Amino acid sequence: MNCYETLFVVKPTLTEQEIASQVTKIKDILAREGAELIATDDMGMRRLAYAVEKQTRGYYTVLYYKAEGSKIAEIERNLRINEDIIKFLTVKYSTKKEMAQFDKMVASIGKGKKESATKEKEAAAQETVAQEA
Amino acid sequence: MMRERKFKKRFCKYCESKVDYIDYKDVAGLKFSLSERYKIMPRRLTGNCKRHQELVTVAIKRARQTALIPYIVDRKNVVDAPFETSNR
Repeated sequence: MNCYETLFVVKPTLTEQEIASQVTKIKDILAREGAELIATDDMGMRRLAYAVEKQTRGYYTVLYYKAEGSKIAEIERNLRINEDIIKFLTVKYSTKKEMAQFDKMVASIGKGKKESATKEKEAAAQETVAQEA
Repeated sequence: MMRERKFKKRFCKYCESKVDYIDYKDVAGLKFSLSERYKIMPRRLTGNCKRHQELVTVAIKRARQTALIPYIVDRKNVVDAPFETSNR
């Protein structure tokens, strides 16, 4: 079993439920291939750096999991078939240092979100202050 | 000559903070090694050591593949659709 990370971008034209169903679909595929899902990082809707399939935005999701190396081809095949997924990237974490980073990233997912949320709140608060002034 | 002045003391930022792996999803962190036009900056300008420059390069290329940072910023991109990393 190796550690892998898969990032994929779902089309922004779908509704929220459809996006969620796409994510669960990928998770189901992972489960079917005997992968052990460790963490999920929802990066949310982001602007793409360049247009992909005529879309300028995309919904980013990152899955961290452990799986057999031979199963990756099947997982990627499914991602490739799916027309609602415009980009994906799988990264393998094999060396000790990479593994350490993998654990760190998995651990920081919950934290990072909270921090960014508080930051956004602060930014929003500052904006309102600026507007009042 | 002007560009070199931007980085006065040349030391590897990543060695200083003992980084072992550079995450491609951390766009803000990668920006240090990118030019205004999102080209990878050479080592002689950023002061990165060889080992970390290689890690940075891989991370930047992955970020480009996933549309987190642009491959090129030409005039069309600058005028029509300026890319900002803070923009969600």
